[in-house]
Amino acid sequence: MTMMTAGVDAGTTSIKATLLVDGEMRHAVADSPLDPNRTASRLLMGLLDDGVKMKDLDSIIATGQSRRSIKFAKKTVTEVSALAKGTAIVRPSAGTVIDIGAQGVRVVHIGPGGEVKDFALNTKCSAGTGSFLEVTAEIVGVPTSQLDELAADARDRSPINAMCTVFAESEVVSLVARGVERSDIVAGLHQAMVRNLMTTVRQKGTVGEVLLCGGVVMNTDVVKVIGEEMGSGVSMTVAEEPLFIGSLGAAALGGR
Amino acid sequence: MSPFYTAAKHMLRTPDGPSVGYMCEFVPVELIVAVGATPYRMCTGLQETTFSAEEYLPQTFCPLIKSTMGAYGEKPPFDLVVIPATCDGRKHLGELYSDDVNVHMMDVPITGETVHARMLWMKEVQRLRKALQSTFDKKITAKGLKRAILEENGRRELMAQLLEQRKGDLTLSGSDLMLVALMSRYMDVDRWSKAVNVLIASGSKRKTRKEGRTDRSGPRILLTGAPVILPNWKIPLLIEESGGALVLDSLCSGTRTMWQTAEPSGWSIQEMMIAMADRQMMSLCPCQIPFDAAWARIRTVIEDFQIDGIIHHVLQSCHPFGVEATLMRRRMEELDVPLLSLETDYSQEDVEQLRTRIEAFIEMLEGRSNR
Repeated sequence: MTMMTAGVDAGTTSIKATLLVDGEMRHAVADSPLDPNRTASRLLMGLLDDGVKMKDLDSIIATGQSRRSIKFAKKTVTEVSALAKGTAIVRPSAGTVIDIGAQGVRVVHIGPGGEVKDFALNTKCSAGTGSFLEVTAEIVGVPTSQLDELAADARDRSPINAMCTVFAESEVVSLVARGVERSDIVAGLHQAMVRNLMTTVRQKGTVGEVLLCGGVVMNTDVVKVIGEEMGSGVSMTVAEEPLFIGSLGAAALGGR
Repeated sequence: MSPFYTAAKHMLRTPDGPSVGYMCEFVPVELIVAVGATPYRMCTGLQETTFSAEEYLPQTFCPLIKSTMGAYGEKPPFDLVVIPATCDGRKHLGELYSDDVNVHMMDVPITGETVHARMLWMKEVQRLRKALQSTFDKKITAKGLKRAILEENGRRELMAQLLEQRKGDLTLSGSDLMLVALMSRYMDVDRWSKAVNVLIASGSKRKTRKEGRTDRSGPRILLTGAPVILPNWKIPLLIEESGGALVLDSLCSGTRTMWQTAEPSGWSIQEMMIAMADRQMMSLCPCQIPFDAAWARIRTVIEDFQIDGIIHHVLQSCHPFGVEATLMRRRMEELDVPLLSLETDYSQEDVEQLRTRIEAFIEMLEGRSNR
């Protein structure tokens, strides 16, 4: 019999769904609207083969910050457990996963079977997460997806000292006003953001090889700065499908 | 449990008649009872009153101190306010009260284990006795003090029994246990003891009949750290909502040292004063060093109550408990018992983030037990 399990990762700005059909992965993502439950169910239905219904699934597990609003899920797990499991599947050699999402940074140490050994999450503040980039990119007038291209042209990373998203915003406004190159500002923002997220990483440090995932790691310049901050002693890879480690883990946890 | 819920509703109503407001567990309440006044623990857990306190205190100050300052303003309605100079917050609170409030500060020795510290503290307890006598113009007699000690010891023995029952039976939820402990500071001995006796009797009945128990199969959690005071009940509730079996707390607002009796070697005033002073000195608060005595208690609890994981509550800007988390983490590595340290304040806005941390911690503990 075919084993079909689904995972929904209901984050703050996007919803990710993964369907596992006998080990084969199918992914889908949509912006998080006001109704995550309906969006998630629409995503998941889109992944099912013709004639297969939601009730035919062996398990549906929700994770992510809005996991409790996914009403059709049979169970919820935290992002921490889901990320550990997902990482064990895509990168079994990794001992640590760092997930940088829109509003959360999660660092999870992983045991051999994908179990959680330890974890750290960012505190209330969203500096060091994707929203820091979103807010500040708007002032520079660049879509977030093009930030890394722009940073590639930078001659210098313009120093941005604020630890807080709101204060960083006003700092960027004054840099723009002073006529500092946009590329230098963006490169500086990346540096500031990574410096902030490293405070969460340093709470527990990393163990073994590190897998990076979450929407923010699609920004190649951010990954470069993380590498510099971590130092050459740490072996680091970026997940091939960085958005879906959590939803994959949730789907896989249903297959136990 | 209903007498405790009722008492909790009226917790903010300060006592009628002669009363002494006190902050923190260093204060030997027997002396207050012996002078004929009602002791009332002033620490509050209200968020609303933290805002009005910002008129007097830095915005980043400890929420418990801010909340208490805001709740009573500059004129707490007690005949006497007793504040042990423990943490930085309490140390200065007395100075912020207006000149016409009768405040008595107690000098708490920072290093708890020296002979010198014990002597200083003994003198401080004697000084409190004098302050109480002059405030109420009444002598504390050996007879009155003996009765007060026996009364309070009665309470402590009941708490010890209740804790003993929990080793095999968690039908009483952990948050209810914490409420029972907290309410001992607001209910008189008779009312409190009667209600606790009911709980103990139903526990004994469950034991003999071997039925009626609620199984709490989740990971067994010990809650340590900064005091948890109503209505700021989010941490114990989140632990239980997330599937954790909250076995007990080790908080100064809860059961940490409540089970311990004062044991005078005789019934002279001097002997009773020594016993009270020695008992209160073991409050296990991280405002004192070294950490050894507090750790010894936590270690015993871990073993006696088969604790799977510890959740350590740190109130924002409460540095003694913040540092205690690090000290605990170091020692716990040897025991292979995980620790989750949570920093929060009296607001509700971080409830979902706390929930994720607590749920993830409990999932992690479940994963360990499946190994």
